[in-house]
Amino acid sequence: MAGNTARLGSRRFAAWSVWSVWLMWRLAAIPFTAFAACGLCFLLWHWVPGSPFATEQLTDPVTRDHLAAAYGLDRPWWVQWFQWSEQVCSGSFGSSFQYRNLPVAVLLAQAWPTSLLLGLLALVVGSAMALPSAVAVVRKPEARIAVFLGLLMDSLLCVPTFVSAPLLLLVVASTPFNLLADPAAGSVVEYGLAVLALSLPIAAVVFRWTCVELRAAIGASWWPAIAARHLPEQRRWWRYALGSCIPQLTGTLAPLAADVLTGAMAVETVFSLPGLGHLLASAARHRDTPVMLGAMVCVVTTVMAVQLLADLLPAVGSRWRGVASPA
Amino acid sequence: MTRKLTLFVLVLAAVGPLGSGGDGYAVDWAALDSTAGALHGFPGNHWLGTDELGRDLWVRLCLGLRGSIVVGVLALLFAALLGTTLGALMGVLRGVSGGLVDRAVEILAALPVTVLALVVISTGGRGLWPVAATLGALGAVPVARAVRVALLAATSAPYLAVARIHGAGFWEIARWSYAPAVGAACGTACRLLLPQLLVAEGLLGFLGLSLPEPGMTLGSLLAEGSGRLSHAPWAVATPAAAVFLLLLATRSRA
Repeated sequence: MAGNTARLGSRRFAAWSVWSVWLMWRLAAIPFTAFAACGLCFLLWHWVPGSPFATEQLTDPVTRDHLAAAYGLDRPWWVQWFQWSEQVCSGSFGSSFQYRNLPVAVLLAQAWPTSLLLGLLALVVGSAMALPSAVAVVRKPEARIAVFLGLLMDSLLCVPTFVSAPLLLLVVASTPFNLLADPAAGSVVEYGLAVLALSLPIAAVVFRWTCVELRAAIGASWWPAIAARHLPEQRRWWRYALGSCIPQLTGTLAPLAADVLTGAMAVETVFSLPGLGHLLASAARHRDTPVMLGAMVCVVTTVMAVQLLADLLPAVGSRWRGVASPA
Repeated sequence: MTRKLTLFVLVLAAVGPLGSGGDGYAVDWAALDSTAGALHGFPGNHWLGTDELGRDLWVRLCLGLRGSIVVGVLALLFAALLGTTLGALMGVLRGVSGGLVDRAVEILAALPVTVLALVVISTGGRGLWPVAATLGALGAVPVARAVRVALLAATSAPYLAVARIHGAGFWEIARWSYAPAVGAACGTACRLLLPQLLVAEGLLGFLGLSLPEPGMTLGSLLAEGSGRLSHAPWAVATPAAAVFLLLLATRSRA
């Protein structure tokens, strides 16, 4: 008896040690990948012709040279790389070219939470639109509402955020009750529209994957056993069919994080939200390389962290799936 | 249906500008005078009216559609060429060099393509070739992965041993086994990639980082139209409809 308990304990310890090593590797990969991505950007930035100061306003080559020297851009690329790496390690990310004497870290600290909140809300709203639609479509595929919902969700795939954002603005502005004109309600409505614009492509992708997973769930061997229990239909579909899909969905939808952050650029530009996308787009227009590299670190870190979470959730959710699919 | 839609979009991009004059930069002074610089829709000569500079919006829409298609297809060609080469290297190379190429492609796959493109184009400058080359280089990753998998499957196929016993040489096997497998994988990956490249290009255009003037794409037209929502809603609605049609045609083919 004591031997069995000891063996079980040692197995659990071995499993936990494998898990912790895997988790440590994945966590270590995040800064490494962010650094590699920035290295790539840095190299591309130096290889392609052009300079941050080669603008129409700065025509004098002497002024350009002075500016390049002031920002340390006249040094060899590898010196600049080490200098930038040192600034990243110290947490300052260097100084912005566009906003003089303002550390990039301050700009990022202001913009990152806005984009994260926007992306999270868009994910929630998109899932709230997609999951009931997917259940309706898979439950009664021949129903008119299901056909309509299927067509609507498929067509949303062809409406990227830079199209949906101005269109939503147009639709709301042309209604008789123009809420945008009201200074108090206007900002709230605009934020709501920004979330909605960002959530539409998410809804389309979540809908597709949920339909696939739901069809797999109702084709699984445990589904007839659930059906034989005479449970209410709503409960069967929502608790068992959809519940069994959630862990797999989190894994398949992780790549959406990159799309959300990319889509946020258009949405934040249209609605003038001070997020990471807006900052990145503005930095790109003004060739503000330190800000772009800093924003790249934020984007890559967010994407990798979401992917790690998505990889963890199915494993954690396997216990939940065991509860959800009792057969 | 898909073919008809694709054909319609291509015809619109090719001959659409001829329907209303053909020059997206020609200023119609009469149209400009009649409204004192304001936008007006659907008069006889201009199917979608003119903008505040008296330029025909229909012609600009068709030219924008043409610009988007040209950039997207060029980027796709770059992606196909680079992706096939990289994928073949990944399939053939073994050991440290193969591992290095694999890891480099994996790192590239973890990055958002549009954000990387934004960083490169903002410094390297706008234009047809820089935008197409950047988008193509960054979009080559899925093609490379598909080609690599196809090549690995093709090289380990059991019938190759029989073919070698019967005296088939490397080039003969490459022609009849490797090339069709790689071609099919590349074609499938490219079909899936084209809508993504069009969306990425549209976003770059919307942010003002795609083709510089006098070039135009649907993204830049949408950005232009966004500033005229109150007095010319069709300046946004028509490029939006064109983006929808273009993506519908390419996505349904995928």
